[in-house]
Amino acid sequence: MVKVTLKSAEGDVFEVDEELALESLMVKNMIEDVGLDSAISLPNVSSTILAKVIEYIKFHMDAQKDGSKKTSEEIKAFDDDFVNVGIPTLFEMVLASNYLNVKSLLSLTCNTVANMIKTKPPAEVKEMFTSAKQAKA
Amino acid sequence: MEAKKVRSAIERLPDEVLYDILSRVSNKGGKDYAGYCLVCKRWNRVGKEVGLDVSIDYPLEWPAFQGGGLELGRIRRLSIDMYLGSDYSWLVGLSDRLEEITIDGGVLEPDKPFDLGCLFKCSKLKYMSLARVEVREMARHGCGNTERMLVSFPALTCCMLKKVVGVELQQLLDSCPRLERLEAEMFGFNGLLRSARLRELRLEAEAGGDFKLDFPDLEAAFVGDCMKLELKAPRLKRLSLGSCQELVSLDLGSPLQSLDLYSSGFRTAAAVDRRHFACVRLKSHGCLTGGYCAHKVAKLILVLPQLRECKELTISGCCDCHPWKCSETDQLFSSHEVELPCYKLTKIYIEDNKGSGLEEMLASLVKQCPALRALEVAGVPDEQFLNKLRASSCSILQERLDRGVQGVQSRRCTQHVDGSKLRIRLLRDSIQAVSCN
Repeated sequence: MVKVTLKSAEGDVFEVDEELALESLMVKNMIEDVGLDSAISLPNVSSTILAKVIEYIKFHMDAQKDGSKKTSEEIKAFDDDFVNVGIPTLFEMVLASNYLNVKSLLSLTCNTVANMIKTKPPAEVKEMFTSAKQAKA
Repeated sequence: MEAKKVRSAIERLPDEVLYDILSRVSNKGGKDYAGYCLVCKRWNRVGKEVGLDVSIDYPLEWPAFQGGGLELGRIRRLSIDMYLGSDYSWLVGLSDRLEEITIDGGVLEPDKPFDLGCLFKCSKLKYMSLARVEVREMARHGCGNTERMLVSFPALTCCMLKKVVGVELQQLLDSCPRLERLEAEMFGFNGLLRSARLRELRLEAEAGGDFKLDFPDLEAAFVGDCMKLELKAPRLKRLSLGSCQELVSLDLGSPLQSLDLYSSGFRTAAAVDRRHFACVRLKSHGCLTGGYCAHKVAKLILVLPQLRECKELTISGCCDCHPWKCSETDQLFSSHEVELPCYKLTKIYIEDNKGSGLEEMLASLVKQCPALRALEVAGVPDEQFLNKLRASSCSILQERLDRGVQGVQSRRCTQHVDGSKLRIRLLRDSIQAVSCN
């Protein structure tokens, strides 16, 4: 299996299967442009977030494989748990999935934020996001 | 490291991603909308770009909307229930922001006029659902009988028509180049329909008719009762068929993934090639709707030689038969003379069956399908019957074990019921699962 090296903003190195890396359309384009020899540098994504994105893609790739025993409930439970993070981290993930161009994760995280807005009264929405803005993620 | 970031992730979010997030929040009634607009100026600005969702459930509500200063041009989704058919000239104000429109004329006084010409600006309309209205596209232009529709919907992907008068389906297909899904429940339809883009079609005509359908890209089709059917769909995967007096031709590429037959449509089944029978669903609506009861369907379908190819069979629908209506002779499974050609069948699902003859049916299915691995019964009417069924299914399994049914590797396991690899599940309804052992 061909490996791809990804380098986070902090300079940490993640070695992943090519198949997994190609799920990010941005990385896919990079590979097409510069090839597999050098590490792909992702200055906009921190190590913590990159690790989470890789975890997400890996889970869903495994779940889609033939012979996977994961039920749709298990997948949903994973997704729910995956986005059950603080607002700053959630927005980091929105940014990262937008930058890396991982459509499914972008849609999951955007939906999560939208649901937060939907279920709360206006004043609370304001409070929640303004305080999250001031907190440095 | 992270502390180095001067601006938080929320602030670094590009406008288009923020727009994506905010457009997932329904802004019906303005409540949710108010919430995110308070966050900051940027959110307010981007939020204003998101179109409005408007739903008018009561005809008199409209003046209130106007009083609220609603800008028609900003509407993204519009739904009108109880469409009155008059004083709707304001629809012209809808702009290319409109993505979805739903209009229902209501059941009381159907066929209210609706002018498609009002939507001439809506070039981004993706979804249109019209029910019980009379479409008068020409009203604005004052001319009739042209070959083509005057408005076109370049972005429309899904169109639902229910009891709509005045729409020529082929003209509609021609003026919606991106249409992928069409559901049309018409009063009558005759003739040829073709489209190179359509992926899903549902066509029903109350008065029947001659259908000639030519869809090179179609993947799923539902064809209601008709007189004659010619279907050309080389990429079709799923087909549902109603009754068809004469199946002229069925030109399909590869074998179907699933074939659904409706109560009145089983006569058609005999004319369908056997390679399409891998997965069959039989849906019966009982004899009240003019169809045939589950027993008759079973009698006519299950004995077809095509069923030899069937691996998965679903029988759904209740039987409302009175004893005098559905005589003993109709009950296939009570007579043991009939050999069912179901040798390859591995899975059987039975849904919503009211129960008469179900025990015999189960017993004979299990007996005649040596490859059977799973049998599932859902929607058993009452607890008492369930217990009866549970007892009988245990004895069916035991019998199958004891006889070591032909063709089945009957390995005796320590567990007393699923030794023959057959699993029977009985479900009171879809939620509560009851194990039979």
